[in-house]
Amino acid sequence: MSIQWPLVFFTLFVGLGCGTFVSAAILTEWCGKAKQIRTISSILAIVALGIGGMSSTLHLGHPERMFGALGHPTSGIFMESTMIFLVGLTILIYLLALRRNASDATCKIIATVGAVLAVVLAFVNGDAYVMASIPAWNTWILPIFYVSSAAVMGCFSTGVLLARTEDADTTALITIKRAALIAIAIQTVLLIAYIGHIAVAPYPDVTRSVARVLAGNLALLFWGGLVLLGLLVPTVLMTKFYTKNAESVSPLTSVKLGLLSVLAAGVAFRVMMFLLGSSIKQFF
Amino acid sequence: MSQRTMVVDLDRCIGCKSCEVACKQENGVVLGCTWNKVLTVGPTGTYPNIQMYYLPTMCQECKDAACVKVCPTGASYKSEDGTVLVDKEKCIGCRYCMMACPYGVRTFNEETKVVEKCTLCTQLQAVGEQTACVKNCPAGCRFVGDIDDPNSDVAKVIQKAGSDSVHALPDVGNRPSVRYILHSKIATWKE
Amino acid sequence: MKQLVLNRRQFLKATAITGIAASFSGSLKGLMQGEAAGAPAKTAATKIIRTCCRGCIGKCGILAHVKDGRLIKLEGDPDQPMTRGKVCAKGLAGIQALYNPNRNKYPMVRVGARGENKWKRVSWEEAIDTIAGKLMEIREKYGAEQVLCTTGGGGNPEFGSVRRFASVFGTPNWFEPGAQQCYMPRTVCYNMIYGNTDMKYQTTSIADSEGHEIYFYDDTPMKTLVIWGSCPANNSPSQGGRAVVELRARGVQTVVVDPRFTADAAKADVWLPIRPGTDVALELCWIRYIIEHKLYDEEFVMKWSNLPFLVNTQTKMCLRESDIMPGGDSNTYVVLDRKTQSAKPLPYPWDDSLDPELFGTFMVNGVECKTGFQLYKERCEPFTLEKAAEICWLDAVMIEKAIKIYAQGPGGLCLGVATDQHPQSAQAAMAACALDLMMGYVQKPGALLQNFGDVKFGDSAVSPLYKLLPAEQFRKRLGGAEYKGANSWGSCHNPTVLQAIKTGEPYPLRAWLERSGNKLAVLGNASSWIEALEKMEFIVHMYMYPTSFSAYADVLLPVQEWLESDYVVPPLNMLFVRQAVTHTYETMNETVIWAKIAKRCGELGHQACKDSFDPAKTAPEQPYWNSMEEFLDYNCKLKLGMTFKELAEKVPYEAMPIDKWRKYYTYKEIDPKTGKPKGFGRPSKKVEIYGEAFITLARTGAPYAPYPLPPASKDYDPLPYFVEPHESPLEGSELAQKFPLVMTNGRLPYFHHGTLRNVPWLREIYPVPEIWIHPKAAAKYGVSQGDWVNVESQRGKIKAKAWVTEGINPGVVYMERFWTPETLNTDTHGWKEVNVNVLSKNDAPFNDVIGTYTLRGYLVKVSKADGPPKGVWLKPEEFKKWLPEPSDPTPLKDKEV
Ligand SMILES: Nc1nc2c(c(=O)[nH]1)N[C@H]1C(S)=C(S)[C@@H](COP(=O)(O)OP(=O)(O)OC[C@H]3O[C@@H](n4cnc5c(=O)[nH]c(N)nc54)[C@H](O)[C@@H]3O)O[C@H]1N2
Ligand SMILES: Nc1nc2c(c(=O)[nH]1)N[C@H]1C(S)=C(S)[C@@H](COP(=O)(O)OP(=O)(O)OC[C@H]3O[C@@H](n4cnc5c(=O)[nH]c(N)nc54)[C@H](O)[C@@H]3O)O[C@H]1N2
Ligand code: SF4
Ligand code: SF4
Ligand code: SF4
Ligand code: SF4
Ligand code: SF4
Ligand SMILES: [Mo]
Repeated sequence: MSIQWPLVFFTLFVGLGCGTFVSAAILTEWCGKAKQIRTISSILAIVALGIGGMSSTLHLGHPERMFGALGHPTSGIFMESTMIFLVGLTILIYLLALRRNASDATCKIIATVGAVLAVVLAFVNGDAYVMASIPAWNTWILPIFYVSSAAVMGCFSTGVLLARTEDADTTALITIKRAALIAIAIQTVLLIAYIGHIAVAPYPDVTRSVARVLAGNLALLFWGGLVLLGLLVPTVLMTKFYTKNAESVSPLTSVKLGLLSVLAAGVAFRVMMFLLGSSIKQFF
Repeated sequence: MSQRTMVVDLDRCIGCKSCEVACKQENGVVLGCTWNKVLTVGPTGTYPNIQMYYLPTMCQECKDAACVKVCPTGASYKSEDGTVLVDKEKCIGCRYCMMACPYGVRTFNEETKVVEKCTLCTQLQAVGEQTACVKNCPAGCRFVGDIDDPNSDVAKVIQKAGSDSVHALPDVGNRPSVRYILHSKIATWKE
Repeated sequence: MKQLVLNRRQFLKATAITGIAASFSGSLKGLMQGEAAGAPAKTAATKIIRTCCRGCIGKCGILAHVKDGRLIKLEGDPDQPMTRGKVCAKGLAGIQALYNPNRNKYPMVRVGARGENKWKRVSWEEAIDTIAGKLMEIREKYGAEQVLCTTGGGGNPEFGSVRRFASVFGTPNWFEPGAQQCYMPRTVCYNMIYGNTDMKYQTTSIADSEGHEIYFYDDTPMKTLVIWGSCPANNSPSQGGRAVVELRARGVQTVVVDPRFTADAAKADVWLPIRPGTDVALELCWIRYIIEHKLYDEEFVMKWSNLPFLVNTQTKMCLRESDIMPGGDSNTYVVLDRKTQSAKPLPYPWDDSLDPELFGTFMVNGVECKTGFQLYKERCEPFTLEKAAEICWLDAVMIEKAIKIYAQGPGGLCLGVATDQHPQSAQAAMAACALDLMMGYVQKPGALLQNFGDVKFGDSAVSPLYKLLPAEQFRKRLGGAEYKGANSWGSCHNPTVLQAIKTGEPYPLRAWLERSGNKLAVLGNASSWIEALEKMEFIVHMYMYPTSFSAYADVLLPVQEWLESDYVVPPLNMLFVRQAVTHTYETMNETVIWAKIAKRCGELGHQACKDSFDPAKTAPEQPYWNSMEEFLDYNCKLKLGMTFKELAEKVPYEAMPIDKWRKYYTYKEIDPKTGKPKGFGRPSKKVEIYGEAFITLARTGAPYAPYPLPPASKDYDPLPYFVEPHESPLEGSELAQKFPLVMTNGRLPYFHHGTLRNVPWLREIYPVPEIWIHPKAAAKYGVSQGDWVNVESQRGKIKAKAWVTEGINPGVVYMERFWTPETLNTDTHGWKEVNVNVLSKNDAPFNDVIGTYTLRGYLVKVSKADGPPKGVWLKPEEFKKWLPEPSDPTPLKDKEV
């Protein structure tokens, strides 16, 4: 399948938004650290969701007929839009609560609801592509990968928010670093699992073969985009960030670079997904 | 239940592509879009011991049509006689149906920004006429009718061909209803 | 125009069609422009007009749906007995050809330099005046023979028009790029061997709508069909191709002799992927095997062929009774009677007291004589299965298998155009005809070769009017004396014409009137013609749209598409009509254009041109006409006693009851005048498998030349013989070191000759020509699937897209003719980029009998190219510029004048 750019950015920004909100919520509300980033991270999340949502309408031939989807609540698009709407709404409520200095418990509850919804959204985002017609997509690994990708992006964006606050709490930094490394580790496992899935997926075809990914015309995208930018570079940068070895690169720069790197990897993964997305038979 | 569908006799098909033009003419299918395409399968084997057949492809009128399931607006629907159709007024052009179709037999019209596909020429069938591709096909290899009705043309040709020589495209739960006839004397069916 | 009476169902049909038409959005968008959204709906119903396609040389019946004078849809006419409602891609695309924005719309004269593409619109009167004036000037100054007229081969609605005009004007020089390269070798050889028949030509060419037995698939006892150098699936999908499908479905076994794995080859019982240009070797092998294994029809060859006749080995002529006994009859042939071991005259049709030898060498009156069959046997002797396999790059076992299938007849050998396109054209046709006749596959139920009835509307209703061509002008025909077989059609030899233009020997040619598509796409060695074109003082091109040839012309005349023209079409025993469903701009039927030029020349003082309009001077042939109506009515009244319009009302019209038309064994019918069987249409009344008549043809031009001609440089051989192709790929060939691959061609079902390259629906299917190449060869020359490659011969270099396939011999490549209208207005004029005829060969050796040059079976090389040629369109969207442009019907000009 040809690369559907609007969908690439749709899921990328939705992932970023969800990831940011979830990691910030856990850090601030659950671990009780770096509470000062609650507002900014929520705004960032909602902006990302907005960009993602707008990008998705670019994909539509007739966005003005969108309301027709209301009658079909089981469709992927309906679920995605509903979820975006719900997550967005919850974040707004959360922001409102913060603004009005609601109680910690209230904020925590709202943030938790939002975080759970955001995880579901990230999952649904990937799940929309799980279909029997496209062997390379027809696996649970795919939506989970979307969630882990959101987590990695979220950790880095939260990391950026932390690093740019005046008196950043070192323990918060350690937490986020740990979270990021775990997310990257999970991502690594998922990536290997996904390659495994491609290897054993039914109706094998050159367009979606392991050989194409590892050694064929997708190798650069895979090794450069997914492995290097998605796993190795962020790991190194995150480690550096933690040790605060600020001599050559400042923590902020390193975590910013890390964010760019995982965003690029997020694009690379989605692009690869489309490039592997050939149907069982692609007649036309 | 009725399931209107197409049966193509590949023993006969000569790959002339008359059906492609017939379809374009009848349905005003724009340049770059395809509702019906004839593929060449092969030659396989090693010269000079080789085989080849032509495979006309179009919507497989699935019983559990994946395209219908994913459609967010109900634009893709299964009509009473089993034909899968697209209501162009409702289609938002999201192309999820194109992803969900296992065979890539839907096409996105860049001019009208909606998805299109073979309609089994419902407009012709409604007035008792054959579809454009069936009518004009030189080799007489295409048949349209209700496959659930044992007295229909399609049921009869399938019956006559014998089950060993009746083939369908891979089914991933969508239950395609189109059938292809190919006898091993002409070529072996390739999955 | 006949409008079918609408019954209820058709009424529904008409309304439904109105609905669809209104919803057309893209491809036919233009057609509907008059009905912009919101405009009050027009109430006119759709008319359905019964007509016939001429998108190729087929005869397919068409129902044209016309609304408000505009054609909106084409579909098959179920009543046409050869096509039964089927239409191919080209036929259906007719609508996009008709309304193509590129149509030639008005007569135009050149105003800029040649090739600059600057034109001025003129009236028809002015155009005809200009042409006639120029022709008359050349005739007066230099002689009429310096005017060259040319036409197209297949698809010309009125092939005879050009020939007639040439005769009337007094030039013996007209040609067609097929002819010597198409059909003529077969028509001449079948005519010389099998003989005259009711229909003018009887060959086994399914592409040429012959081999009529195949259309009776429901009851023919046919068992086997050999398709040799032909592919009905490509050459007439909805007609012969369709019938072959039906035959196969009923168990007829097929053998396909074709270097490529075509649609028909893929479904055959045996495929023989022959090396191009070696067909005669394989045919001789088949004959040898059939003789060796006595598979021939002994009864038939003995009683109905000249194979038992004794032939004087010195003179190569058959012995006559007059040769062995004084006062003997010179029309009675001689056999060797086994019982008396002596030469005996064999009275027609047979003498039961004789027991003639079929084989053997005998001394008769001190002269060595052999039977015709003996000579054949000796000629075939070297061509064992193994030898043929070696020459033809085949497998001996498969050859044998194929022969055995063929021998299980009844059936026949359908010989296509492939063998007409190399210098062994006549020999291949002789051998093919000989094979079917030896097998007795003639005039019996199930045989391909027949003598079915004649409905008197052959493919050219325009008679040649040879009587107006003076003998001294006839003798000036270029190549006419050397390649005398061509006199059967009357055309000159185009390579000789080319030499004449270039060298001025024996005389130069100065004006060229051309009617057909793109000569530069269909003539061998296209580039060799450019110098000639540039030397021409005056060039006229009449066609439906401009082609590469137009770029070199001085006058362009707009002619009608088939959907605008009228004609009588004879499928089997029926008559149908092609009739105008609309008319666009100022297009004119060329059958009238030529008449108009002749008329104007007459007015300018040309006596024969004047005479050509005088029935007394042209009798028994038709005088020239002023309109299509006049032309068609004359013929219809003469043959049917009704006007063309009346005939059109009666379609489908049964011209002859089917049982009277489909008659078998006509040679056995008793001729009431003689009380003897009618026999075959040869002097001996038997089939003349031993081709004595070829010798006479070489010496005098008989039976074809209207006036005796000097002998050819050497006698034609009465038997087929094999020679290795001039550009040989075999070991030891120096040329093959540089150009290792053998090139051949063959039809595509989506185009006809050089036509339809401007039709979006078809270019979308096949935008650029593919070159078929075997994976081994591809690997060797560094080419992968879909690559653009350079293809080069000694004569030039082009590009093509690689189609790497197991379906072709590793030593062979294949392409089909192509040109690109989108680059018409560039330096290449669209004929240089991808045109296989830049590579083909139009110099000697030529076929001795016919003059055929080499379009198939010459050497090329391939290499990877850097990309597609500049300016050539590849993507569907690019063809949007050629989508239909509507035009309201305009009054027919020729009816007004
Ligand atoms: N390399 C190579 N060259 C070849 C061949 C090959 O196989 N390989 N084949 C050869 C053969 S067999 C042939 S016959 C020649 C043919 O080549 P050409 O002589 O160029 O063929 P045309 O007869 O011009 O092509 C048929 C045209 O007649 C048109 N026509 C139909 N109706 C009308 C009408 O009413 N008026 C006018 N003016 N035109 C009409 C058709 O639409 C079509 O455009 O090419 C030869 N050249
Ligand atoms: N679609 C379409 N139909 C046409 C035409 C057209 O241009 N397009 N043209 C019409 C005309 S004028 C003609 S003459 C007929 C011709 O119709 P056919 O007689 O079918 O001619 P082709 O398809 O040119 O060639 C037949 C086959 O010969 C094979 N071949 C090539 N070289 C050799 C060889 O050396 N030996 C043998 N045995 N086979 C060889 C080719 O691969 C090809 O498949 O078609 C007519 N019908
Ligand atoms: S028109 Fe008929 S024979 Fe020709 S390609 Fe289509 S299905 Fe096959
Ligand atoms: S073939 Fe594809 S488009 Fe047709 S019904 Fe099945 S899933 Fe839908
Ligand atoms: S593109 Fe149209 S038909 Fe297809 S899923 Fe979307 S709304 Fe439904
Ligand atoms: S049935 Fe109609 S819409 Fe479908 S492929 Fe045939 S012509 Fe096209
Ligand atoms: S074979 Fe095709 S192009 Fe030729 S006459 Fe028939 S429909 Fe027309
Ligand atoms: Mo031809």
